[in-house]
Amino acid sequence: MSPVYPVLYFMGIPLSVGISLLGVYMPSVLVRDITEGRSVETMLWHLAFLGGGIVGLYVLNCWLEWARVIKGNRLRFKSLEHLHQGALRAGYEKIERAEFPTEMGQLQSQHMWEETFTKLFMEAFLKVGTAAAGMLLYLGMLSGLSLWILLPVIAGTAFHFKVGEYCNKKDAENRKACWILDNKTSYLSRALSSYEASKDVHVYQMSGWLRKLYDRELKERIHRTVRQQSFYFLQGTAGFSSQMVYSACTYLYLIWLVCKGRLDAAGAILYLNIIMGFASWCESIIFGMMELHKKALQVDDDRQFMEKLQLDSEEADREELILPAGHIPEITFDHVTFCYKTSKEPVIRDLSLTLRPGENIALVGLNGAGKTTFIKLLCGFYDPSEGQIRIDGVDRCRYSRSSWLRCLSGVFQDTGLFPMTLLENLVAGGEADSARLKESLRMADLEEKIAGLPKGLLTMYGRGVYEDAVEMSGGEEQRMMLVRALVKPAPVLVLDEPTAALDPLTESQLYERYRELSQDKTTIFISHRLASTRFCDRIFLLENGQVTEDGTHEELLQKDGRYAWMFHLQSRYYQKREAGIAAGLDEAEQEMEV
Amino acid sequence: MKSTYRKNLWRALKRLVSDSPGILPLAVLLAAVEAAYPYIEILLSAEILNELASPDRNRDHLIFLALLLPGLSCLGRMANAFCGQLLDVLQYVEMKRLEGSVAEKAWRMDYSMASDPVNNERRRKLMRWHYSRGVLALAGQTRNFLRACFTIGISAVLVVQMFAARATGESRLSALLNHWLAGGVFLVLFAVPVIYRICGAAKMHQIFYQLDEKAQKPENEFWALTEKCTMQYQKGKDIRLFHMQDSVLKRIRETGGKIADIYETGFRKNQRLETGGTFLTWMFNLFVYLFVGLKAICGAFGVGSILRYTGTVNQLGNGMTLLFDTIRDFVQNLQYVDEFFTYQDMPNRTAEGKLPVTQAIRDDYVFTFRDVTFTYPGAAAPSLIRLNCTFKKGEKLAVVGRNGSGKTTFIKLLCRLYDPQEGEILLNGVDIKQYKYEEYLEFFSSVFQDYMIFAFRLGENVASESDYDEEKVTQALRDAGFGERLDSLEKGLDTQLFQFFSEDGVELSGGESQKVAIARCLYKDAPYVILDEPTAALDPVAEADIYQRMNQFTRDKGAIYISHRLSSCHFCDRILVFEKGRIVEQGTHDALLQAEGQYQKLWHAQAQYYAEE
Repeated sequence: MSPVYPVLYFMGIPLSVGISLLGVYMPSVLVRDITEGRSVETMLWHLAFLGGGIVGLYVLNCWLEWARVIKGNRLRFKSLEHLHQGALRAGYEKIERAEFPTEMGQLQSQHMWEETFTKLFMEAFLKVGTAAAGMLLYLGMLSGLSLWILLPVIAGTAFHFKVGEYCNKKDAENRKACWILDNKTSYLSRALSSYEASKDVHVYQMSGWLRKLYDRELKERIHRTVRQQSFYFLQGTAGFSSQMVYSACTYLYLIWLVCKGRLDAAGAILYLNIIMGFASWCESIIFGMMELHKKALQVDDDRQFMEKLQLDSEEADREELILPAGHIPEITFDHVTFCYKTSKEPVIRDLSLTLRPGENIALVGLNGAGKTTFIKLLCGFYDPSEGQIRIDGVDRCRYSRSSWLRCLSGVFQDTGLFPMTLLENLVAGGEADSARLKESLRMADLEEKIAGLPKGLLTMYGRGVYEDAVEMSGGEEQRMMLVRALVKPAPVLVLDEPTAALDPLTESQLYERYRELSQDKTTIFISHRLASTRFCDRIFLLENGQVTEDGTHEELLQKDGRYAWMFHLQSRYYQKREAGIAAGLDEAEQEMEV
Repeated sequence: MKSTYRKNLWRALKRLVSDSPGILPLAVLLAAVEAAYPYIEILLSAEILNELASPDRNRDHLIFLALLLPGLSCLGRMANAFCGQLLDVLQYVEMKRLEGSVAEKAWRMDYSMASDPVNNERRRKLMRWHYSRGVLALAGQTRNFLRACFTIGISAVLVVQMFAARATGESRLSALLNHWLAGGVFLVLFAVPVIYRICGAAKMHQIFYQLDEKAQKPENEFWALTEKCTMQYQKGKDIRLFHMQDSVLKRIRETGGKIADIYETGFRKNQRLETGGTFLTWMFNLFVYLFVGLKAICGAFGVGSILRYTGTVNQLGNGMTLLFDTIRDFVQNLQYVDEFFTYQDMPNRTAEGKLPVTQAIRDDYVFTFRDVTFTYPGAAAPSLIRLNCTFKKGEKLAVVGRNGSGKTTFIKLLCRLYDPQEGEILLNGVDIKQYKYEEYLEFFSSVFQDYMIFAFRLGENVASESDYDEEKVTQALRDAGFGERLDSLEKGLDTQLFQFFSEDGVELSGGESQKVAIARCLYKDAPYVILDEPTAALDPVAEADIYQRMNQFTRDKGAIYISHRLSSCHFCDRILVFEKGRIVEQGTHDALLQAEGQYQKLWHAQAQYYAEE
């Protein structure tokens, strides 16, 4: 944060106090000039002096306020950037938490709409600082008056504060419920009215039902709003009535003094303004402190969130893994067990296997067998709970995550492309080895598509965000992801369902080129289409987090175990039998029962 | 004023009154309270000071005033707060109602319109406006307009009173103050800051309007970047694997900088304008002090009146500024009101169908595509070209073809999500446009490729209803292969899906949500079933299971399967092979294999890997 920003706030303190002070003096001086029958000239001088001061201070203050807005505007984006930097640089396991999107979203919108915490904090600070300075000053100016008169002021403010505290507490509980309801209504009104949702909403004719849901949430929300407003009203009323009491006391006291002849009218108006001013300083100091406390808590939330994202302290000390060019490492899983923090059941159980350099591996298994978790462990997104993953015989945990990731490339299942240029999507930093890139595009059959775009690889991706963004079908997107994986010169390639959205011809082309693609690499291919296992040197069948079968396709078929069963199940319909549909079905039913 | 503006303004007012009859009367009441209560203090404190300053002061009267002033001002504030908060509540409710009707419009809108980015942007704009623009803003404008009028009225009376009080004495100063020129100078000096403020506000309004428009694009980019690159944490795997952190951050920084730059130019202009305005206003205030002070010296009124008149002149200025601001807002707002109704009035072309889809049709039906040609809006080439085909009850079709050959478009037209530009689609010989659309939609159960499961309860998702037959829903889920997972869920059908609203929400894997989508399709139990890649995320065992159950389920129905896994063709009576928007082959699996055409190519591409030696 630039040092100018706090200075802009510090400067606000003398200005605000000055404005208030001159505002207190001006009417009283004027009244005295008139009641004591001073010359017009004197009054003019007084006016020019005090008034000039007021005008000057107001102008300065206005300028300063906007200077703060201007600085804060830039700061807002700086802190948003900081937030995202934290999230992007954090280890993957830090962000793959159920709470992450909510927490991140809340912080992001707070930074964006409610301004940055720094700003809110500084504002609260300005308020308290000004009030403290003003209070001391006014206390000094009250000398000569009985200080007892401040008692109702202080008591009134304390009463207001107590009620305010109570209301705040109640409001905080209420607000949490409101927040959830708001999320629900806006999910209905915004997310479900979006283009992505409209097909299902339409065909399943949900509009009547959605309306009912919306009205139900809204009814509850209105109830909450009324509650909320009644707390505010209660708090306001407490303030108004305590003000009524202490201003009545003040008026009566000053009138009494004037009637006793101990004070003239001008003095009365001066003291009236001072006491009222003192009262408002009291208010702002107490409520300012409350604010400051709240902001401090928020700043703390922010800090805690960022801390959770920080890399582990060990990560910094870990070695950089640098493989010599062209070297393919041997990867060994040695009795690896892994369990997500949120669950008790391990996903990977005591798994041991070796991926020999240059081997093409197929990993198969049912949904939920642990394939995806295996990949996450391999990539170093998570560390094993027990056992070791060794790279050329050395524990992976000795190396930093990012340096290990440099040796890997691949296609994951639940990901996609980013709203940037196609080139940036394919190559980090947008600088490509053009021969390699061209070759990969050709292999993925995308050359024509790219050549057909006016801006080629500099075309933006992201319909609905960029006007001239490219339109891509699911199959094309998947092929783009494949290109991205191939362009990166890494010795280990992981392909998790890279063909799900491809038509049979494209799929088969990919298989034909697979040997070519996988030259000089260790590859791991995951697919529900068991045909893909054919070009792999070795197949691992994963069941309940363990490798239950491994070997070549032929070996496993001969073994006639689970793999063979799955393969037959899928290949049955591709056989050149004339048996027809009915026979196939009967067989399937029998097998299902087994 | 454009005539549609006038008409829609009228509709907006009627809508406000019928939705919430209290809102306008309350706005009037609040305006009166807001305008009046500052005068309690202005008038009474002046009175007290006058009394204090006068040599023959009345003590009882003073005490009475000293109690009256705080009491009345407390009451005034409370009334003000009460009315203001009540209006806030009513406005909030109305805002939510308006948002609800915009959303409902989107839910009911024809799919072809709902998927149009222009309509999407319109809807987002309407929802963003909230209080400040559109129908609801009329309530606030009524309040501000009346408040300005009341304020101007009260303070004008007092200002006239100020001028009416003549300076006494024979001095030149008194003569000068009583001269009409003094009034003229006063008026001119009063006008300068007020006009400056009115013009300045108008200018700022315009500048910020332009900035908002200008910032919209980078803001969209910013949100998309942060959403797609950070919030969707699954994508974090790619970010890390391909070391994209720096390019993403660079874009975030650049886009954020762009937005900040845009607003900064506005803020800087505003800084100059407002500082100038503050200077002029306070210079004029100083002049008022001078004028009132001199008049008091010359005996026109007591010292207390200094407070009264300086306060009053201030209020007059505020009232004038508010009046002009409100009028400007009102005029500009007409356009927003108009946009709201234009959106709400968009007609559904599907509303024209009148024929009922009778039980007889549901029992026995034939679909015919006759020379159907369809081009997506904005696309250069047609997706379907002169397509002809017929299929009937009890027939199962497989639709195969390469990526982009028009398979999905085919089923979209069948469901009437779009209407063809040329040719027609007939149901029992009648164009499907003639049928009542809601009843026509009842005809289909479907799982689309890009289906969506919603953040509701599991059972609600399957039934698309809150009151559902639990047994039937459970059965549908079991049939879709979700049974085991269902048994593992503590709350069963009441399980909240996804963690948007509650932390005990359950996340589904790709395979699981596909099963829920299939269960939804089974539950609807419509006469015709459409499945577009329903098993892409399922393993071979689950896939075989689903196909077999689907086959049972569709036994006496019609069905269309789209799949890249050609094994599914085995279940089908007829296969349509799509190529570049046309049907190039059709027939049974065996016939097509013998024909040695596109189908055979596709088949062999896949089957060769499953050949058992």
